[in-house]
Amino acid sequence: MLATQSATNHIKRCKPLLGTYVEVSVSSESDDNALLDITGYVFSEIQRIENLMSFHNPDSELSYVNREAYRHSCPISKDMEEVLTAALTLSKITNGIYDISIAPTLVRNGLLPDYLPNVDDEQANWQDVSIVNGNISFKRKALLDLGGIAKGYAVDRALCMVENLVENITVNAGGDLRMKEWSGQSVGIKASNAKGLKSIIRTPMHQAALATSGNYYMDRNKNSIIHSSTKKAVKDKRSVSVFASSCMLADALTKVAFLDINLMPIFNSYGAKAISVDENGKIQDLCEALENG
Amino acid sequence: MKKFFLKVVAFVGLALLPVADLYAEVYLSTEQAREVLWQSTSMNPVTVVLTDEQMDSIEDASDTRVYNDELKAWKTETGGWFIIDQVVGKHEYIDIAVALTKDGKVKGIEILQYREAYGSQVRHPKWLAQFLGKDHTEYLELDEQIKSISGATLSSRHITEGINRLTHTWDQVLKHL
Repeated sequence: MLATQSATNHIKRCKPLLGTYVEVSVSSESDDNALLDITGYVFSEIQRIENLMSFHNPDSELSYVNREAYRHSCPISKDMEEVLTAALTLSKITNGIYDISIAPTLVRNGLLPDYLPNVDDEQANWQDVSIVNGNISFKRKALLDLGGIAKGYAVDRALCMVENLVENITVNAGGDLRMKEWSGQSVGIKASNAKGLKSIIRTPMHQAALATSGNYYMDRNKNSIIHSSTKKAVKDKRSVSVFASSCMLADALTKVAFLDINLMPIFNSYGAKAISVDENGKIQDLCEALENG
Repeated sequence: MKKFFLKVVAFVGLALLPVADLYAEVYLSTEQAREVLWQSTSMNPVTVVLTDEQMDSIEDASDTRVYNDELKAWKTETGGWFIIDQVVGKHEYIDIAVALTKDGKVKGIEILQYREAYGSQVRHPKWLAQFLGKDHTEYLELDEQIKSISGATLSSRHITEGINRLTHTWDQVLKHL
């Protein structure tokens, strides 16, 4: 029997990267070996971004910036410039509700390692970070953490690098995901009730990328979403999911949606959609919720 | 052998009722992982059964629990290792393939199967451990239309601990074989 040449082949692969489980699934007419090679490129690109942007790695570019940018202006990579510029733009639009300089609070709460110069919670904010011609400097001592945006950027970079080689590809970095052919697809969103029991809620994809934030994997009293002005952890039982054109945007906007529902008009300007899933698995469109009071 | 029953997933409209017990995702086969990690390097299976002393000593050195005294391992012609192992976390129960170089350095890691408990079962390592060695076809299948799941980010620190345990296993046992 002749093999049909148009048969679509699938490979789904998973590795521990970015501090979580990164899953890559590809489909194409190529054989298994070609698909394994393609997924290999995806993981390498994600590893490259992690090496640049990890707060946990003392040798990362981010750690270098955190150590040096207060003392002198530091040249940064194109990747770092793109992520930081996006983060600072979001800080400006949200009046600082979204702020990547929240790292000292995360260090104090034990969520980030404590090996960098000691920085007070109140010392600096996003306005003290300046990027000019590919160089970064801090006006005051600051610590930046890209935990709420770099994962999405890594997903975007990795997917865009190989998407022309395959029919379809999904890169899912611990719940922050992006699909090449997303129209008509469904995804599952994890929900958790008051007793910590989880379920999966099905919903259609509204955009190419989706990210979810929630506290249900965190130990008690250790919540990673911090309000930038009060420095208090947000102890919300809901999870918030954001659909956007890029995973970086979806990743960052989940924090905004979590922190202040009144910022929903921003989502319209980004063409993004935010939903929350409550303890009973009920989905609510947050833009509609704001309109309806 | 302990019998267990997996409940049926039911969908109402767009919502899935919270009854699924264990969600399993299958990735590469052992053969595919071996190909990815060691290509055509030839290897032979090595029977490794840890003594109580070795298990204690590995636990002390790595600061992680050693659940199994048997290690599924292959030694390559170049003196490296290919190991299939399990990692048990608070939420997840995972089969991994790990390649170690002849110097005991991690050459690569592949996740073969990922399982996460949902619904009403107690998410305890002992409960998860009953799935050890089960074929993935016995697990509950999610709706076919759900190809990906989004959720809060789960830390992969249990993998890090598992790898740490294996590099100490190499240091105390495998490098002498």
